[in-house]
Amino acid sequence: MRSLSFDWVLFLLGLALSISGLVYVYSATWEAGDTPGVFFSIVEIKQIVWLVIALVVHHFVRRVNWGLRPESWLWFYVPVAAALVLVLLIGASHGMGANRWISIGPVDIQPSEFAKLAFILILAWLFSREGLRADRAYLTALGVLMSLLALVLLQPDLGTAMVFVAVFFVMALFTPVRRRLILATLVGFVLMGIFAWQFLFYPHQKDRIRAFLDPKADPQGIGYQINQSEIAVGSGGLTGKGFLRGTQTRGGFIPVIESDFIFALIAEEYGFLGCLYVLTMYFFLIARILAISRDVQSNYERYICYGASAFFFFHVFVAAGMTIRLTPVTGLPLPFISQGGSSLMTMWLVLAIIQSLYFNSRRDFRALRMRR
Amino acid sequence: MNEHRWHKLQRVYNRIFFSAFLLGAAYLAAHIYFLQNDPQVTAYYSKAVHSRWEGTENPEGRRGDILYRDGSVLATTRRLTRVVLDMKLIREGGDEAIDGIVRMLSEYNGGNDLEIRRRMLASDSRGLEILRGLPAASAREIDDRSFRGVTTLYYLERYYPCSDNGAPATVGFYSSSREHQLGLEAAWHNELRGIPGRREFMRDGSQNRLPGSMQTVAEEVPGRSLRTTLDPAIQLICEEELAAGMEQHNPDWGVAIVMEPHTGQVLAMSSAPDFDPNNFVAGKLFDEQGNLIDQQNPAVHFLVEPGSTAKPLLAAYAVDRGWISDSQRFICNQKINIGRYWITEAEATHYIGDSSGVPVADIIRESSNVGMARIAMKLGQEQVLEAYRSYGLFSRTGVELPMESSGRRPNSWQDEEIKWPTVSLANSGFGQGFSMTPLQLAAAYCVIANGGYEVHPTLKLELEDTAVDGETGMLLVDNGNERVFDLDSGQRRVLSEQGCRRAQEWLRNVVVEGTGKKAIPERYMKSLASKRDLKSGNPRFLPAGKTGTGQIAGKDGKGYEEHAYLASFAGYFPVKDPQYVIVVMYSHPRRGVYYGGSVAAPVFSRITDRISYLAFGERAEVPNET
Repeated sequence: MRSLSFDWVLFLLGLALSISGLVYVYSATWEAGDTPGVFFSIVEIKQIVWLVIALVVHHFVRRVNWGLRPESWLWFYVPVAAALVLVLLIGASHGMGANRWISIGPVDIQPSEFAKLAFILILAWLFSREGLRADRAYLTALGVLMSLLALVLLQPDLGTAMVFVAVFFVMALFTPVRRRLILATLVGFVLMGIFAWQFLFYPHQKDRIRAFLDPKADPQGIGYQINQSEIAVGSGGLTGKGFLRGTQTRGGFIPVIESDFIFALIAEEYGFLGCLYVLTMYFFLIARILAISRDVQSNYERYICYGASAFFFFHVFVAAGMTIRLTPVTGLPLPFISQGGSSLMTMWLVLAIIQSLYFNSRRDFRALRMRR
Repeated sequence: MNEHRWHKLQRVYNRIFFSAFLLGAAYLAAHIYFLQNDPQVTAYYSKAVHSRWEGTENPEGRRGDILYRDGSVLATTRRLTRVVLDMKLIREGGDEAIDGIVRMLSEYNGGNDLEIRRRMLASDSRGLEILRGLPAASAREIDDRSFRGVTTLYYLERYYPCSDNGAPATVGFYSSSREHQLGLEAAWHNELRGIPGRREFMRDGSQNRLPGSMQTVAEEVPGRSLRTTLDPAIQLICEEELAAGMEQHNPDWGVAIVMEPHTGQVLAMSSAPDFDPNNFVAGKLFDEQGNLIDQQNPAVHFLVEPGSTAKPLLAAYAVDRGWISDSQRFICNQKINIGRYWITEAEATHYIGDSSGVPVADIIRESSNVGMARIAMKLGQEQVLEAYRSYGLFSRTGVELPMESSGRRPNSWQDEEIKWPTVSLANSGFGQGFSMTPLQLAAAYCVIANGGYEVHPTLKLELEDTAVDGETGMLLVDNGNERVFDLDSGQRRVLSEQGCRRAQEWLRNVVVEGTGKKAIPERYMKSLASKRDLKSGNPRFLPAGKTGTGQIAGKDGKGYEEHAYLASFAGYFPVKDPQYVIVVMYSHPRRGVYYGGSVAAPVFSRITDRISYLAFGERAEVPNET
């Protein structure tokens, strides 16, 4: 019997991906030569703790009625914008060349991850305005996008910026925004992109994009990561090299294997079948969210679902694609799997909100059943 | 928008959404599928995996040493260390790490921490070589402190412990860029050089080598060591005395060669001005003025017109062949006229003999140009050429040095068969109009000194295999004074024994009676029974030889430079049983005196004096009259 108050399919898909992620992170951070038995790295233990916290948070957050449209979109915007400004002021770089984290004791929080979620909610709020106010709302949405882009690019975090732009256009396309406006925005973005390339981008960001366009040009420098991860993926074969047996993973050839490049580890250790498993899970996850979107009661809720789908899809496509030279190297996490507490928490918050919408959409059915 | 229309539209949107995601997912999966499930692609990437893990290194084989004949070192190879920083790792450690490393490294840099800090901050690449030339002990200290990102690496560097006193132009120098090499280092490069080894190992992505994975495919082979014929003490004497003469007379250049006359072994070969080969190793090829430092070796690279030192060679050969008689007399005017040229004696007052002429012995003793010109004209072109050629002139001596000059016969720019003008023939009698290298002159005097046999100058005593640990055995064979002289060894006779003795007698008289009195060493003077009779001393300390004051050919190839002379003295020592042939030469001395007898002979005498103590010590009382 299907539960009318909780979508187990959605939850189990998320849980399966999260637990698979724990296995992959375990493999990525496992150090040969230590104790021959089980070895839990600090990163792995942190990830487990984060998952537990995320599940608890999920449990409570899904009980809030997220289908209720708040009075103002500023409820979402202000805290996130404040956190992003705070990152610029007191952020920690962790030697990665970008200030992305706020350190609170032993915990590092990456506000840009939560900003993605807030951005979806803001866009859903603004695009669900109707009538004469719709155009003005679209311009407001554009303003929100620009402000968040500016904050994120100052860190600089090209990946998150790309998520914002992608989610914005997908959501705009599937809401009754006038197409002419979207086209104008698109042209504006192309012009801005040219301007940014000329004057704003950091050399390493340019290098990444260049490396994506022509990775063979400089195998030791720019294209190094892509070459290494491609070798890892390509040498995986159909069934992979096995748990803890990935030579390229083990050898430390691929940087940040436990977060951005974890798909390369999946491909190397579990082969094509492992990749297929992960991608199928994502596919069902997105399909499930879209299915829920059909039954929700308001455009606001529907747009949240669209935004969430686009959000997951874009993350998976870029994080997996960049290991095989399909997309630029931008440092996006693979949802539920990549190491990183903020990312994991954000993914589960998205699921919690979708669960809340599901709960709302089944209110009538539940009432029906109870009457029986 | 009404509710119904929107509801229909939303179903369409859902489908579009779903199809788009499906397409994207399929696209991604297809990409991965083609990457992972084509056997050829998989094989390619498996190979790539191996190439990522495999590392090789080619450790340099140690270059062989160049040794003096007693085994002491002229050129060796030092094992030094350099410190390399991984700036990426260090920057991750923050300012504290940088401070610590600067403090630690400044201990090995004479406390110049600012320099180290400046270079570290200025570096924009990951690897930075911060220090070079540290001894192995310092490297171990640095390793023990194990700073993150600080590595020490060994390298081999050529070192010349004698710097500019170790026959630098002869030994030459070695730098890894093959453009700049010289001397024995270049000539024996293929024997000296070590063969690099090859090691294969596994390493991970951070370039850490996996323990136990090192495999030696080929052991590096050290090069062989060259033991030269050079004698450390004699070389040092020559360097010092030559330099003193340079100081005194300020010539363009000078050269001093000491040879063993029987075997042709070169005991010393020094030239001035010289250089410190260590500078070349360090890459300093230019002096303060920015000119390329002269790297030529005058002994084999410079061509000189010998002047009077050639006279006894021609005269001895001509008399020995019976072309002229020992007692034949030649009239030596102050000058003779040949066509539009005048041949004069060195000084206008120089006039020997009378209208009856003087014998050959006196011509040599008094170094008469006119007399020698008459002899040459009497002999003719063929015989003059044969005489000089038989001493080995006009062809390379074959000494083991690169780019040796062969010398130029008279009228060499014309065909060999062509008849020389009379003035060329006359000039060739007293050593003008043709040229030779200082080493050729020394080799020619060896013929007179050793009893008439042709010698081939050599610098090689033997090639030794270097021990693997890089240490060269000291004094394996003492060839110091051992003379290997075998009549059956096929050495060509140039002069008969009798003719040779005659020439030796002439040369002895040059020193005791003629133009070469200043060549007599102090020690012989002290042994004189009577100060009036220079012949009465201990013959063991008496040298014999010939002065030479040649005119220097003009740089434009026509005529001679004015007031520029080549002052030389070529001789051997001791007169009886000669053991050392010594040639001293200065080009264009500038302090007034320029005669070979005044410039080169005193240097010759001091070298001879010092060698006599070196060779005989105090036990030399052999009052054996020649």
